[in-house]
Amino acid sequence: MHHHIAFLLFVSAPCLLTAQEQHQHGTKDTTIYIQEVLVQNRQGVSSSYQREQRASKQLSTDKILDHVPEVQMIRRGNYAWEPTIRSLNSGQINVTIDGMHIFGACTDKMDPVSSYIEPTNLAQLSVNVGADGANYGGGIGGGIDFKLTGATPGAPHQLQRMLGTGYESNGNAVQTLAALQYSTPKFALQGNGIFRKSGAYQAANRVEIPYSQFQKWNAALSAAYQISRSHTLRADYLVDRGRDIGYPALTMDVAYADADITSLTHHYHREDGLISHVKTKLYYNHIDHAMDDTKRPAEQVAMHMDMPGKSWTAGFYSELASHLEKHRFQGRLSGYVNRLTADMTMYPDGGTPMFMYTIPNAQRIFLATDLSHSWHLHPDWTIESNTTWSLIQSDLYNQSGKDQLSGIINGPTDRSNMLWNIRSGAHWRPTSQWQFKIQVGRTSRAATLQEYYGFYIYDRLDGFDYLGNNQLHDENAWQVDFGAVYDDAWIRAEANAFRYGFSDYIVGRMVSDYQTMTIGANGVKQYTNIPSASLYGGELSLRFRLHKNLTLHSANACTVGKDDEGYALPLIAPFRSMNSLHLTVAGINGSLETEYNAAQNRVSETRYGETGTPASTLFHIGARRTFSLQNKVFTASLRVENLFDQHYYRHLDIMKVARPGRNFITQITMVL
Amino acid sequence: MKNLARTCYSILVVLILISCKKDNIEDTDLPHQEEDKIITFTGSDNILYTLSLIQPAAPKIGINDLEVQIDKKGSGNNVSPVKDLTLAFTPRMPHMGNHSSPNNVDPVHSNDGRYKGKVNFTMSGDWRLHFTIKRGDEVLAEDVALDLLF
Repeated sequence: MHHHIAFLLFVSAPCLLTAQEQHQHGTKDTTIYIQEVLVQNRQGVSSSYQREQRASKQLSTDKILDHVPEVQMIRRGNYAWEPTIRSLNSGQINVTIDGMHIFGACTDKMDPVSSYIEPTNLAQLSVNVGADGANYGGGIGGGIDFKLTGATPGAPHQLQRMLGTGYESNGNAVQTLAALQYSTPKFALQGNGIFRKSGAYQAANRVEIPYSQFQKWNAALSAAYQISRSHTLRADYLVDRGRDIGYPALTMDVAYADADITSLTHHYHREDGLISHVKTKLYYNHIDHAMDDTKRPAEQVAMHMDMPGKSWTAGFYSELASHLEKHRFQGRLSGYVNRLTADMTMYPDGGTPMFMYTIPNAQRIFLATDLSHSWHLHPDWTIESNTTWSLIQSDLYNQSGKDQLSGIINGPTDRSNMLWNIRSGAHWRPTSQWQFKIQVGRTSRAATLQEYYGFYIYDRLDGFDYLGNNQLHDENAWQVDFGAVYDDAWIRAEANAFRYGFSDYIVGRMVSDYQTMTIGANGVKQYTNIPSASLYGGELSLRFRLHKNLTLHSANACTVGKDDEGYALPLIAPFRSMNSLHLTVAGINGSLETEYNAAQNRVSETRYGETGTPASTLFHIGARRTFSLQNKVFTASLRVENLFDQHYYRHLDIMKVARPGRNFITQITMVL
Repeated sequence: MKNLARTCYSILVVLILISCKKDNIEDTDLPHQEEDKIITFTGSDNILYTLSLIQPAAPKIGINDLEVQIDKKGSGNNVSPVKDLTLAFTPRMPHMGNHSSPNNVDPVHSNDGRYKGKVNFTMSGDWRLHFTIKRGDEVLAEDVALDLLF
């Protein structure tokens, strides 16, 4: 129990004003952590509010993220959507699992980190925007941290079990999940597992989208030992195996996507004393990924090729939280080594197989220190700041990798960068209903290994082969965030507005003296820095308590991105509004939802190869009921998504593959 | 008598063989020994030339040293190196839509008909090096192709 409170408090440590609120959540029954995922999006370290939603463990990680207004998902198929924060992409945000860095092995970004995590693994999903002390490893756009559920000694119930199953009519998708926790004051063991399988799905009018099937299983095991009142040791192992995963937006599918994620964690916690919390983690993860074009028809495959990729990361972090009267401190030291390699072997008819690296044995060594401080200097005022310093060394780790790039890199291939982030903000609560905040920060990031060393990586969006550039400057941004909250008995409104001004923004630009590698590509681009780019927008969330049993939620977000010459940046989501009405009657929770995506015509076809997307409006309806039967608690739900079978696709859907049509989803979960 | 004749004859053969060292000879009837790929072409001057690939002997992915030997066939079996040519080349992959590679360096004459440059193999597989050979402004031969695979 103490660990939950400590855990939540640590996460919200700088957010003094909500410490009370957090404490109350911490006392809730641990069944929450078996049955539900806490979704937390924090608008920066100084945020005094946290919007928490609960997500069923049957709801896929992708769908959970999709409902967070700051998050936009890039979709390449029915599986493994890539999360972005305010349309800032993978290199600009940190996606971590329990603070552990992990890097996908697929050059086509078919395996974002989120694809290896299932809701059964999660206790909490945190979205941190911008430079934030809770973000692991600096970064520009912020980060998403998947906090894993784990064995907890001293839980109120000694044995907890959950079993669940679900079925979706669209694609005949099934999923089966189970979780178990055994907990005594000294020792705890937890396991969870899920199996998911889906056939190809159908867009509106029952039009099947070929190559959109997938199948996977995922299991996690956690063991914890309470060494003494303040010390806990925990070992975790997560395994994820995906097979036969179709990608309708690409010319290839995935043969297998395997992840093994292990860690050892030590926790120190005290309620009294200067240092309330110290957490140290050692970790290792390994990803093995291979693409597969054998299921595609011969006329679509110009030449058969094998494209495997591997990524492993070993790292550590140690963080502490401390408080002294009105001050709260958090400090963290972290580091990792990541090795990434991907290659391609092409088999021409009547010719010798052709082999080349697309990521030629690249390596990154990273060391960082994060410090954050929050000062509740007055009942109405909190000042907070955080800073991150990091050292990054990137190189190709063997001669064959260096040979591959000898044709485009003259001289040494390695890069060393020292980066720093700093953010400061103030939070003002003039009345019990109103809160205001302002944050100003300066952030930077080093280019990713793909951006330094990628070799002819084909991007389906603009049809270009991309070359890395190991001379890239670090990307920098100035960030300003304004926020306001109004909260009273019947309405709560949260508004945020932001502006990021970038310098040395990393984009691909055409290079004319290179010939394409991919048959049918439009040309070759190389990553380069452009002098500036800007990103601005905002989010508005509303909650109306219309009646004791009737609530209306509205989440809206909008972003605009431009490069140095005013051209619209690619993959920026248009205005989106998600509105839902929740009604509780006779023990049934019903919801009626509507989703509106505006048309996106702010695109630059000539420069970035992007075309516009029409607007779409969707309706969903659902009902859920929890009931007890013979000492077991059941939750049954029925949901219809895309009620009116609307044909649509969203702007971040690569190749504009149509999204699913009407879908009946039934799920039942049992906790005992 | 027979022994002396035989000895003298042997010494004579040895002397002749010693004198046939590749590096110093203008005219020789022995072919160059390192080459494993030889292309013969007729120039616009109606002379028969040979283009031999000396390096890379063990090609690898990335930048390789490229060395070719160009000789002309004279009267009889005489082969002499040609030192006054300008070479330009493009490496292409016949199975990849004939796409080329960037950052190659056209071979330049170094010594005795040996031309040295650089070739960039972006991947392993079948490659064809297309040479255009000029003497001054005059094109001697166009598209002399040398195949290489690894």
